[in-house]
Amino acid sequence: MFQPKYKWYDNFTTLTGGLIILGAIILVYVLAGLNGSFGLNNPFERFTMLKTLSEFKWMPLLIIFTPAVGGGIQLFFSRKTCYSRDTVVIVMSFSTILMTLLMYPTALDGGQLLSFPGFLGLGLSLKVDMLSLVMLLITSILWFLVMVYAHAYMIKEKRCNRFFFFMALTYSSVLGTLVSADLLTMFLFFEMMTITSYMLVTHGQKEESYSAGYNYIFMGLLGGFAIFVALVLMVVYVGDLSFTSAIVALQATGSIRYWIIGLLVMGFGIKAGMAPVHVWLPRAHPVAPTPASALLSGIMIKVGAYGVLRVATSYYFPVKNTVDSRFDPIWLTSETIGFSIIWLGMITMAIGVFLALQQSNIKRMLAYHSISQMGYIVMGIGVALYLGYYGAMGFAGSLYHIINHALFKSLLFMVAGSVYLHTRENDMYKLGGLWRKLPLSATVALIAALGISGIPLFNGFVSKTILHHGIVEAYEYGHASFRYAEWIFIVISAGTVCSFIKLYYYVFLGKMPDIYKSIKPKLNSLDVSMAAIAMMILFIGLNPSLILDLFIIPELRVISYDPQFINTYIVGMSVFTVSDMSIMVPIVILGFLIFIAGTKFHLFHLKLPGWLRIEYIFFYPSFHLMRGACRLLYGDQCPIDKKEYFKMDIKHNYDVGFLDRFVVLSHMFDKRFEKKIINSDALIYTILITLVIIIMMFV
Amino acid sequence: MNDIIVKSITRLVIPFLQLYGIYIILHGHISPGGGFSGGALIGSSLILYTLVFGVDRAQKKFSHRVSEIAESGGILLYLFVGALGIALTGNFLSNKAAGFPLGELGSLLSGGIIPVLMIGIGIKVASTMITLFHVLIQEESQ
Amino acid sequence: MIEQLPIINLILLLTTALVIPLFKKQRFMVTLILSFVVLFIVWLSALYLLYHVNTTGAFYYRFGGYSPTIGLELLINPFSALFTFFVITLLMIIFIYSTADASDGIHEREYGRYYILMFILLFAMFGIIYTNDLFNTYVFMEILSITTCAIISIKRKKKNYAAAFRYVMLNEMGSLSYLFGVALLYMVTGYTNIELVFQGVQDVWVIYPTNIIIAAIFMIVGLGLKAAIFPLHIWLPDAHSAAPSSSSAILSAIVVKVYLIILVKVLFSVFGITIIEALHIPSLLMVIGAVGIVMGSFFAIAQHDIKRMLGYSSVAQIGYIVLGIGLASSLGLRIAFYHVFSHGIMKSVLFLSVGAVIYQRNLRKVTAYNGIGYMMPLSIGMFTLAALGMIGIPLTSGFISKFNLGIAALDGGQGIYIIILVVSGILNAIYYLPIIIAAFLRENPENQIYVSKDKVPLLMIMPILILGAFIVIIGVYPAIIFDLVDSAVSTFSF
Repeated sequence: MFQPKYKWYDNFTTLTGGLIILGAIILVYVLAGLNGSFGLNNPFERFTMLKTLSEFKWMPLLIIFTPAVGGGIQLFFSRKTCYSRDTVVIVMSFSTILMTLLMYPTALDGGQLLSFPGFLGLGLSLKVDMLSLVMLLITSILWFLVMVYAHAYMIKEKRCNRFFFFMALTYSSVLGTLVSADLLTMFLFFEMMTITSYMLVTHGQKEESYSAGYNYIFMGLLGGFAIFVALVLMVVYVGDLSFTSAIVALQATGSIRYWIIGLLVMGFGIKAGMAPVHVWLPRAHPVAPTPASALLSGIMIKVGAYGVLRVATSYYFPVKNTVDSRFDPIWLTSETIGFSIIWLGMITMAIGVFLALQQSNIKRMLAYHSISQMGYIVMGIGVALYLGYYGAMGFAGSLYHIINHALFKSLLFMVAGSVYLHTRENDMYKLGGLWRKLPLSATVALIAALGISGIPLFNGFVSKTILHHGIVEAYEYGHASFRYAEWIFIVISAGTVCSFIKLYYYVFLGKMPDIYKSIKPKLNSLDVSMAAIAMMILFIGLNPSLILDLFIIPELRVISYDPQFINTYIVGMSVFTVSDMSIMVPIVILGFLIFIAGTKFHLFHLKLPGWLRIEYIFFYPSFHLMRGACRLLYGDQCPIDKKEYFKMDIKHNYDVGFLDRFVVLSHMFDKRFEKKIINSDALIYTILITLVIIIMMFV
Repeated sequence: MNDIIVKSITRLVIPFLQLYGIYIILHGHISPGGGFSGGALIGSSLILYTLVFGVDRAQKKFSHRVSEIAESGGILLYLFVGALGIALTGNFLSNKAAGFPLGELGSLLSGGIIPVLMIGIGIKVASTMITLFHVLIQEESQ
Repeated sequence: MIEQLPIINLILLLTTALVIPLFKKQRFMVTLILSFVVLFIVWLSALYLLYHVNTTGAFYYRFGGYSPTIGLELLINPFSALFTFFVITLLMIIFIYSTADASDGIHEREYGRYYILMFILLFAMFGIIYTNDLFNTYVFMEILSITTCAIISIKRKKKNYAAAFRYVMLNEMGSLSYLFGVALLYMVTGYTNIELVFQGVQDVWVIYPTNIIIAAIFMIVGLGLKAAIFPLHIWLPDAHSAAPSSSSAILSAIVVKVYLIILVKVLFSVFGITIIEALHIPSLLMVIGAVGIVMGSFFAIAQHDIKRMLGYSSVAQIGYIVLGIGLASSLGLRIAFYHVFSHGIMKSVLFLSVGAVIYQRNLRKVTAYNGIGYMMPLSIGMFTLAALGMIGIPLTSGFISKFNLGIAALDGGQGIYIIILVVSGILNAIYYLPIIIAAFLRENPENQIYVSKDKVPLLMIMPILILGAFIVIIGVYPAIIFDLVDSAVSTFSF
């Protein structure tokens, strides 16, 4: 009898595999053509139709609406099979990649402004310039690959239609944030992004999903409101919200300019996971489904960093070619800001790595690593601002690290998801020896871990080297305290290495527990997408200057950095020098030492005291204020200590968030006072009239 | 009330009450009073009837339907006269400007539209009083 | 003929109210159709008046042709035309909703009464907005209070009586307070016509300051009591919890705004900006507004009944309008008027969608909304849209109000109020988000996976959808409203 051979891949894998290979060919062709390697010409010059399409005025709007329309179409297909629905999703994301690639020549010229006057009062505007194009490209490629991954992953979950619909809407909003050309448009898409991504985080509908989601959306809204206040201040004091130089008007406002940038950094920083407002990140990542975590960590927090970068380098930098020295007083504001941002980045890095080493849940550990790497990016942005005219190295470093981190962090999350899918286990201490069962996952995990640690020949090394150059320049050209910053940088890189040694050792090496001996791996779209990202990591690691030449340097030339500096230090920079590679050796050795010391002395299971949590420290005074108010109102009968409000009991003190306490307080206040206020209507009227008469007569 | 003396006296007095009320309404533009007070008088005469003879007989004489028509009719008369003002000259409730005959000061047929308005108001007030009274009595008995 | 349109509107409305009881009870359909036709005609004439006044100019209408010193005068300028248009549009849409809302306690035989009351209510509101006479305002105000009270307590339930009684008493206190102020002004100026009083007040300000101060205080506090400004908002939550949904919508979205309009007229047309600033009334209003915004939301967090929660939310939003009025500049007044529109539409959507949920599933507790989003997607979807507007998400009209209020506050030198706006946004999020989250993200009692259509009548869903579309239209392209509002604001002098 004819027995069909065991088909170790399914139709979807074939389709997506084909699309990925097609996309890779197109990408390599375009990039090689633009770079002039392999003897290829610039494809935009060869096919003039591409150039015309690129200059199509409505292209940014089309890029934003494609995912939204795709989301609507996939809702329509949602009652049929998962296969047809996901095919729509895949096609939609792939076409977005193509459209983004098409925008390259226009972006090179500086981008066309597409404005909609009268919308939202002040008018919206969209523009794709080089910085936006870089972010768009990495976003669309990564989103496409994660959608491929999500098909196989979400088969086991319920209510997928809702998930994919909101994924499409979030994609639209993220694209919108990246192509906006003024602060109001960016704010609009930012708020939309917060709300639509909330549905992704709370998708699991378990108890911890709700509390994590609650925290997520409130911090997101808080960030949005901070940007809102900065928006109002900008409109009144500067008048023009578009991303062009406003430093002249800002300097005339005195100390308000520091308020504006402070609010903007805080608002975008909440999204970026910057300390001290990073608290939502480690809660949101473990509860969200893996594709959502991958995108949350891979793209959405980058939007926060992008926001800071865009705002700071547009509003606080002078117009290009008007300044030609580093000591021009117009750089003073950006120097002061840059200083604080560098230190904020340092603190973020340190907190991230330290807490990451304490975690046993894989996803939570990766979330803390996201915080730490965002610290690197924020530090790079700080250097870009601090050094003013010479800040090009920091800018290049942070932009490159955004690209690299997006790639290896999402790959790590995908690996964690693949492990979870096969073993249903999130705790790394309970796993082991999985390299036999999941060879592909093990290989790509190794590539990603080497990438994030910054080993030469992988992509992390390039961006970390550039950032290292940046911090050294901050020390050379600027304040002496950055010497210590450089040491902290080295120690934290070592911590990162250690943490990933720990992860790889406990999950993939070692002895495999017996329960996992029976899992049967299947090649499906999970593996295809993971392999694609691993390939990209290797590609960037081996040709670092490709991205530099094609994307980053044209962007640097648009911003008012010193052209001499760019030409001397960045153009043709080779990272494979002896001095750079030799920094890695002590880092790796230090990492191994920390790992060995940690396992020996059980340093990885420190129980931190409850009062050390950031939320508690922040809200400590208000906790006591509310408790005091309750005591005042109720005397001895304060219900805080009674059974009904057991939540406020000392034992549970650290777990209950600020908002819950606030709600309980308002319930108590209302219970006591509302009836009394309602019954004393005439009294209030009389008191009010007498008071007002007294005020009027004697003032 | 079942007392025969009260019933007979009431039967004699009520027409005079109503006549007095009508007198006050019609002389609204000459002497103190007018629609409101005259209407109140007529209303109170009907209330007296209800008190003495009981709600059911009063309802037969002045049923819900009649009071609905009376109430609406009163105000509609008022609005109609005002609208006449619009049709004739231009402004609502125009009196002299619309050319209504003003007559001589002090005689009954003078003042333009004012007597007509008084009549409307009188009807309305009377029917309001009796309706409210009937409703309150019926609520209590339920 | 165009000059007669205002009075024709008033006559038509009153006539309809008087004619409805004459129809026989069985022919209820005739009542509905007649009402809708009349409302539509009045809407058209309000629209035409708005157009006429903005192109040709304002005009006066004198009853009987008598001069303003002894007669009654209506003033039709861009301000009154705009707000009458607002009132009639919103009421027409809520009327369509109420024709289908057969549940929620309106008995069969009460139907005609409900619409009679609605027409008299509309007549009174038109009268208040058009009139140029202080005492006439009082008369119409009384008619408005009584009919509103009746329309709220139309459900004959025992527990509503206390709320209705308190409502009547407090409103009477407010009206009498206002009347006292009018009497004091009449005492020193000798007129009740607004423009003549304005002249008189400017003349006698130095001679009788006490009189004018006391008159101002009593009028403002009286109007504040009726407009549910913070410490005097007490009657609003009880009134909302007792009323059927369409009455709640009318009360919160339209009636309260009319009193705020009287407040604007009194402050800026009767007393004038110089006296107001000499009495420090703007700062007082701003403080009261800010306190109202925060305390209204604070109380709303603690409510269990969803209608009471929406009532307190109204108190908070009225605080915004008072803050805008208190800025006493053309920017502030402009945003206050825009917020009248914006809040009117958003609050109507909220009440009407809650009414639809109560119609289908009878859910009034805030915690009982688990999973409703899958069973009634349209209603809860519109609720979400309006709630996001309240929080201040862009693309809704609520964001435009907040944004421009912040700009107006900063322009007037009172930057501290931007913090109040942010705090208010967060507080609004605290009590609206749990409902939306529970509706879409918790499992519903019947474990339904697929989204199904609402089982409410089409006439209930259409108004909600239309109003929801307005929220987005006004939010995306606010210039539609701002153009009209600018010409309204220009009738006041600063």
